[in-house]
Amino acid sequence: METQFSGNPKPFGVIGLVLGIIALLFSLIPCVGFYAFGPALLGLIFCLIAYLYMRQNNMGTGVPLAGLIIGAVAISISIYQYVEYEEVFKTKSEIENSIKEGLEEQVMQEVLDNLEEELEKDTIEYIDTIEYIENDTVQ
Amino acid sequence: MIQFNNPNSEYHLFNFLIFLCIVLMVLLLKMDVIALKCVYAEIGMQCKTCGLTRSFKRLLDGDTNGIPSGHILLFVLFASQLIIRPVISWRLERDRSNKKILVLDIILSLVIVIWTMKELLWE
Repeated sequence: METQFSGNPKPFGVIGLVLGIIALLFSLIPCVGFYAFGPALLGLIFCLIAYLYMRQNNMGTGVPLAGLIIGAVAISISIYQYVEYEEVFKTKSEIENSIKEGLEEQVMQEVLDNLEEELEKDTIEYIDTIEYIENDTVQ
Repeated sequence: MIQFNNPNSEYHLFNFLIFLCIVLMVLLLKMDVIALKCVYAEIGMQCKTCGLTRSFKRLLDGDTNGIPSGHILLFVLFASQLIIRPVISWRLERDRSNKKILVLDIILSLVIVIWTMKELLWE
């Protein structure tokens, strides 16, 4: 079943093209590249609607077609940026984990050192006391 | 209301939308609404576009000291559209059949975008 469209599709194509161009520019920027996915997808939908309608009515499809291509490129780049982000997030969590583990080890070592020190002190005190008692008994 | 009987009406709408997007972006920057944090900065790395928002805010205030050339070029690319879009629409309206303006606009825009992105990301 073929969908019947009504109204003027040209503005849809132009809006889609503008969204695609802006998304493409932003997708190239590493800091904000992934956020371009939304506008690119929106532009792609707009252009697809315009393209289908214009083709159905034998109108020139240059603008929506350009929008479709630019939108698709912008989506691809933003997905690539997301993959890069994932690696960054993975590295970030690895760093956090190693810092956490390192800290835990450090704290455990400190506790052990303190315990050993206290035990040593207690042992010395104990020996001193025993020696004192022994001396006292002999006298 | 834009009449689509004009052969260049699509182009006028395109120019208007680009102009509107850039005006909106300037307003958002001026109102401090845009505050994106780079994920690379969170792990201590610095990508080539880190500090772009700060650079744009400073450039809007007319301060160019210490701003990387890539950031300045991207700002010029956006700011130039505020002049280029209305001028091209005006020229096209004066001479409706002159398609050379459209070709020149597309070529010029592509050259500026490629040059800016090269400077910003690969230099």
